[in-house]
Amino acid sequence: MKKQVFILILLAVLPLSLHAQKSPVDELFARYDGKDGFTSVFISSKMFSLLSRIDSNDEEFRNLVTRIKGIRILSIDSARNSSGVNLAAELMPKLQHNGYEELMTVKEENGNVFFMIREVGGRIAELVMVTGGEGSSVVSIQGDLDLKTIASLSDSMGINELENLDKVRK
Amino acid sequence: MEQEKIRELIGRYYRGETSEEEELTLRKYLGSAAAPASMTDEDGYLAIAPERMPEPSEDFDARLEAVTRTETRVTTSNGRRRLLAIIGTAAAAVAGLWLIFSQLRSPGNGDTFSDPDLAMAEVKSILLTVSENMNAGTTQLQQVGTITVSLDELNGLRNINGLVGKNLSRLRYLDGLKPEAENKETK
Repeated sequence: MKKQVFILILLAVLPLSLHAQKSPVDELFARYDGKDGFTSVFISSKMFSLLSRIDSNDEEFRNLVTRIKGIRILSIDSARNSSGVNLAAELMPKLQHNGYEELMTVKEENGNVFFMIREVGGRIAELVMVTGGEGSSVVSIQGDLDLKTIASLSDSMGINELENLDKVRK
Repeated sequence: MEQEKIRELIGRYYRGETSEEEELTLRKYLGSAAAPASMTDEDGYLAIAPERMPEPSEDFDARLEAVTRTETRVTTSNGRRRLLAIIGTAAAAVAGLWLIFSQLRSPGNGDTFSDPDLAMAEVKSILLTVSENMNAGTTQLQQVGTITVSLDELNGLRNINGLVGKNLSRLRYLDGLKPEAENKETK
């Protein structure tokens, strides 16, 4: 009988422990994904494996892409944000209590931009950029990240690149 | 001879093979004075054993029913526990499956873009935005870098100063030699 009770408790606790493994970022995306006034973008590891096969002249960018496992973006449409949700205010306290460390905070007129990282085995496994203000947004980049390369991207990718991006979007 | 017959009867009695008449004979013999002590010591109680099984007492049925009811209650309790265990297991299994499915349905498992070119463009855009924001924060640090360079330059000046001092000390040594040379000249 004791054995049966133990198995029962184990069966009941196992799914809860799986559920508990969700990070604050996962929970935030789960809460607001698909809701009115929110825009979300997901690029999976499968897509990144396809991207690494695409020919690119920029070797640095190509190397960076091969190390990324996934990107998620959640942003609020400020014009339709009637609920007054501020993603930064909601997410930041939880991140600090869940093993994320603050890398940098940039204070801007529109709102602060927070950079949080999560390290696994001494390597940066996740970078979270949280933008405060009216149109707050959250960008989560997962993988084996090299911050120097990410920082140097804006130098290597010039205005011409941005124009190309706009063409692709059209 | 009679004793042998009695012993045989006792043996049959214990095996349950005796008839009522034979049992009556056996009791009469064991209850009489003719029975030897060796026989009455062991099996003498047969003489006082009732001839017929006693009738059950009046409350026998009630007691039996009470015992039977208790047993039924125990069985029901076990059955309930088993039922609860089954329901609990089923509920846990359903909860587990629901959580697994909700995990699978959770964001991050589906791609927004199916076209890799579009995805690539979006990735570039995202990374560029992140990069720009990071650089906005580190621009101030570059000024700190400039200060560090200045400090390095100052360290270089300090080295030059050290070299000058060293050379000056040599010159002082030469100055120390001067008076002797002048003395020689005066002589």
